[in-house]
Amino acid sequence: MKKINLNHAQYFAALFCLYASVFISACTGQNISQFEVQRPSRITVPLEVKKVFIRGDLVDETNDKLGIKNQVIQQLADTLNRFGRFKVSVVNTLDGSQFNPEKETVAIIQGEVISGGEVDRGQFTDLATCTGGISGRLSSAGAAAITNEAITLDKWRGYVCRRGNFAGNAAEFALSSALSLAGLNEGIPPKNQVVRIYDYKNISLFAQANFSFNIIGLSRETVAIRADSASFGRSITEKDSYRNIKESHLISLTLGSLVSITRIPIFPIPNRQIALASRSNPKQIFYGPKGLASPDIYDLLPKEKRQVIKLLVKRTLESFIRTISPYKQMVEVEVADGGREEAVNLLKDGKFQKTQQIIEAIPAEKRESQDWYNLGLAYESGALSPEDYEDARRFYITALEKSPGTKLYAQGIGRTRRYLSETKTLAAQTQK
Amino acid sequence: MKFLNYHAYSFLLFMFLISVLLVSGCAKATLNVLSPAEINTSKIKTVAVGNFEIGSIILKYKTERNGLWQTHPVLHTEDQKKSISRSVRARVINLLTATPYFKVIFSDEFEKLENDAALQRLVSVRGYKTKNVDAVINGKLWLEIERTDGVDLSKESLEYFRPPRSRNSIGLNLTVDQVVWWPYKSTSGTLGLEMKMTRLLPTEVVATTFETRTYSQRIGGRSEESFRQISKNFTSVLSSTKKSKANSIESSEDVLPSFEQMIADMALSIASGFVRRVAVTEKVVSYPIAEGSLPNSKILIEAGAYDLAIDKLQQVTAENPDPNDLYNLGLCFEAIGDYGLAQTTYREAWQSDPENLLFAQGLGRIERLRREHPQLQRQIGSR
Repeated sequence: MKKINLNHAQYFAALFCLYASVFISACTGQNISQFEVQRPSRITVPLEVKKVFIRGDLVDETNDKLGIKNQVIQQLADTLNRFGRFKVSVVNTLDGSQFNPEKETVAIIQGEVISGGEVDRGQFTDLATCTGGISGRLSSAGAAAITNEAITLDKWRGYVCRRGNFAGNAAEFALSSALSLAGLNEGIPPKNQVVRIYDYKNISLFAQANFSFNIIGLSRETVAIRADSASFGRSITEKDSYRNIKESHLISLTLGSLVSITRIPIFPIPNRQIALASRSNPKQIFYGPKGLASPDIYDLLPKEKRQVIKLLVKRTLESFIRTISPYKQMVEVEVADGGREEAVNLLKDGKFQKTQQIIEAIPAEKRESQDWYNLGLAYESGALSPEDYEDARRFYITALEKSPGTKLYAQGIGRTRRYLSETKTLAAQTQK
Repeated sequence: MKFLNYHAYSFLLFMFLISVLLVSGCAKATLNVLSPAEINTSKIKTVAVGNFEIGSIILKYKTERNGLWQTHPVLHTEDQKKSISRSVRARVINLLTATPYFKVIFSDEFEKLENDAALQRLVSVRGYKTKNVDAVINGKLWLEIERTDGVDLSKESLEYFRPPRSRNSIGLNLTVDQVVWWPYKSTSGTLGLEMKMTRLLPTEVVATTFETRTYSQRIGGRSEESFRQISKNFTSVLSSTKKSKANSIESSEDVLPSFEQMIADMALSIASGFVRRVAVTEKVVSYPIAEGSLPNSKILIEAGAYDLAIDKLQQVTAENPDPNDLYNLGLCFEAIGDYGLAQTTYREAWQSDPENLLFAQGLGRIERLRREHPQLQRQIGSR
């Protein structure tokens, strides 16, 4: 048997791979159960307020440059209607035909929608390191592919040039060590540095909603006001636009045969102009008198733009909605692996009642800690009353007692504690 | 020799990453803590938010090429300026209503007051009281934001390295000097905001503040170092704010924020200082959990299951008063707001191990909270 000698680099490469595999295995393969929980609103709107009118005419659109006012209003109405606390309509006027001012107390939402977007184009300069040799070129190109870095080839010998970052350097190090293990490393590769230019395009979108919730009854009262915004920003570097404009070997090629000692003072050279990377100075001026343009279909495809705006609107309205109305929140919770396997699969599929039946059919003394936890999760997921949360909490506690130190079980206890502390408020807000 | 140290450099960075991951894995308890208002506003219950007057709003684009600067102002209509003012005002209201301390009125009557002088006239009318308003908050703002498209110039030393090809060769390492332009984009802005809380009966200004916030960000250019220097110059004069990424559906360090986003962030930062002065505020804090003898206590506290943790810890410390368990018990009492029991338990832990910094910190924290407690109770009780 040939003895394998690992040098430092190879040892660290093996360590890196081990770490990566542990990290990856820790972050994948979890069983997740998703369910909705009802949470109380931040303020308690008087129960007599059942009808809400969003006054389109009282929602200012002066600074709504993306033209999203109607979408914001409609989304607000739809979401509030879905949560069921109010009956919400979008109107442009309000008169006696919509409600009886003598008998009913209603609420009006009014405010302002602000939105905008811009495309900021330009040219930047960067300094890249190019690597030669077979393994150097392979590991550099491989690292660039892994970390999605732009590469260029130097014009002299086709060295692979990339800017470098922590992830890329780590990947290059690992690849280079792997090639070394495979016997493809010919030692330290030659390197040079180049000045490059590239084009970029930054796209940003912004949305803000300032809304107030006013109760109109015997007197007018504003019970909630919020201003919330959401933004989107994406930087697009055009990879094809990378160009090497100065490469360090050009001089060394001329003088290389005369030089054999490090740090020979080659400069100052007689003509300063030769040393000027003139192409790094952009000719175009990007901030003109007209300001910046809004993103068009070449910047964001219509379908994607619609999705982005939909998300912006949703995010912008979230806090206002949670302030005035009890809301439903999606919760993602890990299912315990082990115990009755069928129950695990049912929980993942959202079949909570069936899970309860299956686990409850197992005699209590034969249930494993995972069964108790999953039973608690089934009760929590399908909870219809505070008693369900009490039961869930009890089952989580039993699971933790059977398997002390399990964080997942403790999290279940913490979660149900919070829901139980909110039930009184929630009951006051949702009484029919 | 930059290239030769490459492996050592990578390894050091790798070890640093591992250390960061290990350190960040320490368990912490997350608590909500109320802080009393800095000034006594316990008699003010209902607050109307008046108009935020505009001192000046200047937004502009600047370009620089070869030392020549050009400036292009962004023109705003009166309606657009008012919209900016309303936006700043709305951020202040967000914070005022975050803790249910004041009842905030956002009536048109106050919103339509044109300026501070009009407000003074209004409140000076004897016996004036609208909808039982106790006080009015109004403000005035000055805003200047610019976006710059410019170019840095620097001399760079490009390296060329060729490894030794034989035992007799020592290789080659050259540097080639090169003058390079580094285009950059930057944005910088300053918001000055004066805010005033005026009690109506008797008419007096109970709180007033004038604060400025500066925001600056730069992309591209020579390097991080050059930007840091510029940023330092800004922040040495004025306090700075960090970019808010709380509500971003996708973000990039390379994208400059829009004017609206900057205004929102700066307004929020100033308003938070003012609100802390006049209202009870809530903050979320994280404190370390001790390695106790009870295996479940740490994870129960981390998960926020304080009631159960208290039950378990009380049982275990009655039999064996381990100082780490006592500290964790104190932490649970602190989390549920029982500061008296928290102080007693922290003191017991600290007396068992006076050298332990964690226990001393717990005790110090709770003593400060208890000092503030009567004030806080008075303020909350006044609602």
